[in-house]
Amino acid sequence: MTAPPRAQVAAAIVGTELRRVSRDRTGLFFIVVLPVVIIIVIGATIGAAPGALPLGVLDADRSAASEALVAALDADPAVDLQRFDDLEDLRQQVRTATVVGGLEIPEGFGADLGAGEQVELSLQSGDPQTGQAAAEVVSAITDELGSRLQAASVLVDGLGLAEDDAEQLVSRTAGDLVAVEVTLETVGEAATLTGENQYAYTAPSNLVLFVFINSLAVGGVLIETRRLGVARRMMAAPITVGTILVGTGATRFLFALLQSVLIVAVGRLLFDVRWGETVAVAALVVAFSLVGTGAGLLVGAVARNAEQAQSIGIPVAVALAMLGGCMWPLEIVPPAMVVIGHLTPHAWAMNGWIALIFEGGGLRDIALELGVLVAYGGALVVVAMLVLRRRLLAGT
Amino acid sequence: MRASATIAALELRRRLRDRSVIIQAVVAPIVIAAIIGAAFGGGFSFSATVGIADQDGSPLSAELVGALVGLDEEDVPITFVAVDPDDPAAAVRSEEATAVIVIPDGFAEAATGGTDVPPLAVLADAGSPITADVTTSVARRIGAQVDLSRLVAASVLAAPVDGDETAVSPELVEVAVEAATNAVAPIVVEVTEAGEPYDPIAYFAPGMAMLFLFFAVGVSARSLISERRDGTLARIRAAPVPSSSVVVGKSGAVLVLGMAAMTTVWVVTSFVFGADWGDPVAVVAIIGAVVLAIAGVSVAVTGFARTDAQADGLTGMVAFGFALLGGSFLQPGTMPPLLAQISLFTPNGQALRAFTEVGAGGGDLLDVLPAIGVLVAMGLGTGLAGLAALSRRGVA
Repeated sequence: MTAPPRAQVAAAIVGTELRRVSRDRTGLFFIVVLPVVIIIVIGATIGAAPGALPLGVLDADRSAASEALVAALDADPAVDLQRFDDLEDLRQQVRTATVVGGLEIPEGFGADLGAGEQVELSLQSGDPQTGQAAAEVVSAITDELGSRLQAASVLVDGLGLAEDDAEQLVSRTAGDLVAVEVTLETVGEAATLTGENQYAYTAPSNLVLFVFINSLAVGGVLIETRRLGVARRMMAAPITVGTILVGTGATRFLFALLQSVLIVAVGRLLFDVRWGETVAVAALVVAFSLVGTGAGLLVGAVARNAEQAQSIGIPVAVALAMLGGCMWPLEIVPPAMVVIGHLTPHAWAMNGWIALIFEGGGLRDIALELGVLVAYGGALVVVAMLVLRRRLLAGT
Repeated sequence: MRASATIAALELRRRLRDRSVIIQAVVAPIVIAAIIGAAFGGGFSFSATVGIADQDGSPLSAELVGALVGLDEEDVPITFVAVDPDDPAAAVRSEEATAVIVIPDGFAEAATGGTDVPPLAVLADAGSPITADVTTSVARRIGAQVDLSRLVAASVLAAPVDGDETAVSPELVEVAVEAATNAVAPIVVEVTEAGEPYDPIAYFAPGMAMLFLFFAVGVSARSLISERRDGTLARIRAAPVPSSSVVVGKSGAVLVLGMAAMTTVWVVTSFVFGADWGDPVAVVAIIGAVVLAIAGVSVAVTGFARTDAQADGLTGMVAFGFALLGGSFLQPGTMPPLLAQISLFTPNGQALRAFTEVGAGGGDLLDVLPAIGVLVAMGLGTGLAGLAALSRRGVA
């Protein structure tokens, strides 16, 4: 009997393994449903008013003056205003940094202002610097609101005018005066990662997260292959270890590619994500799929049982994703965390996606990232193959 | 009773011997929370360098620039620098300043001469919208100050002094303007400390602990199925032990394991990372209630799954689904309103809200009693439903 051609054997292994994976319907939840749900949920939370300071306000006065102030704050594009009725609620939101400042308009605000007294608004903040920045924004509004009162009081003190006369005079004069205008012009291009499409960062970051996490999960299938004796039976056939390894590796690689294509397609069709130049996108997908393949094979080769693979694999995948910028952009973390993050392949993959999606880069712009990912993936695959080969030959 | 205790002790010994439960339920949440803490622990602190471009070159504008550049107070989030007035945009492009306020040519002359004042221009880096907003506010406050002087000057000129308008001397205007410059604003904003910012570790550690607890607890619940398959359950039944003892014993073990794991996470993050979870009595009560809820859900999952593998997959779905909908992956308070409503139907969402109320809002046991009630009800409801399903199949 002659041995069947190698390619045919490898293809048969790929086919069998893919059938085993696709028969696991709960697995499909992690591959198809979970990534889409996560993209929707995370995308929805980062869509709100980018670039405005989130500010909480509690109006304990409810007078015409306090309502005018709240309305002016609400109308200001620099402020993303949230109203509160309870001081404890406001304080909790300040401490969780949901709002950068909590402005309290005290009872008697309108009355004191009308009586010509100076009123003090307290702005609670968790961080003094940020609190001062928020205070600056609020003060721009209060200065404008208070300027007529201020001018009138100067006239009363300086010219000895009666209060009513001074106020009338000021409001008459103010009507003819055109206030100093402030214009805003931006320089350069916004490199913000939320940009116009809030899904543009979430979609690629979940691609990276799920290709990796599900590659590890498919790695668990490999443990079953070993445990159930499928591997040993294959070894009994006239097939070389090399062929089995190629077939096993190709399955994982194909699987990672399918997962990537699915998220790219969903991102494009459901969330209108412009992934960038096709060739570069394909190259990045292939390079990171190689990383996923290597990691999955390694887990499959090293772990003793599926439970162990799951209990260690999932936290590790989540931790690497966090370090690598899949849960939040690395541009907001301290420099040391950026350096640590780049020890993960995830960070390099995310750099690549940012270059393609946000900076309009091409294949040449992500050459370094591709190189690092291929090196990473290649090393993982080689190590995993060596361990697996030894295990297969030893029959464990 | 003794039989239950023996079964509980045996289950605990078996679970602890498998180190993966410690990795999953204790190490993983601590490590992941530490990563989040390192990424966000510094907190958001606003600071910026803002340039002043004096194109006016007047004594007034020079004074303005001098006053701003010379500012040297504590907690001032903005550092002002004088930049080349001929090309203010270059200062932004070269990152010498994130934004520049341009005092236009003829500003002082118009401001003191009673004509319309040319606008103050703000040039800001497109990638720093918050700095742009804060700088615009600074410019608006400068404008408001100038407007106040103009308003006072115009009012003085229009004032009927003893019925003779020619009696207004330039000196009088100057004195009035001077008074306006030194006048205090009628509304001042005072920044106050809202208390220590809520440590992200105190939020994400319980969030992650709950996620992984589903997996750790699920293994014990599933052991009911595997023990039936392996025949150990039948052997226990052969002994004079009521069948409820098995369920009681395993449930007891799960509750002890879950409580111990989450309490360890609490103690370690408190002492090692200094994360303040809040009132200890309330924290322990929430931990107990949420462990009960997770155990109940795990029993229900086991009850409705037909095979071991199906239970495995379902556990993953439920764990990630609840974590996602409950807000375990989101910053506290950033959930969109609809999701915030949905989150309350998950044990994770209820518990996280309670943990936030205790940790950030300074709440105590009384404040979180409603949440604890809901969690206990969730645990008992799902647990009993699961037990009913299991007993129908002869497992319990």
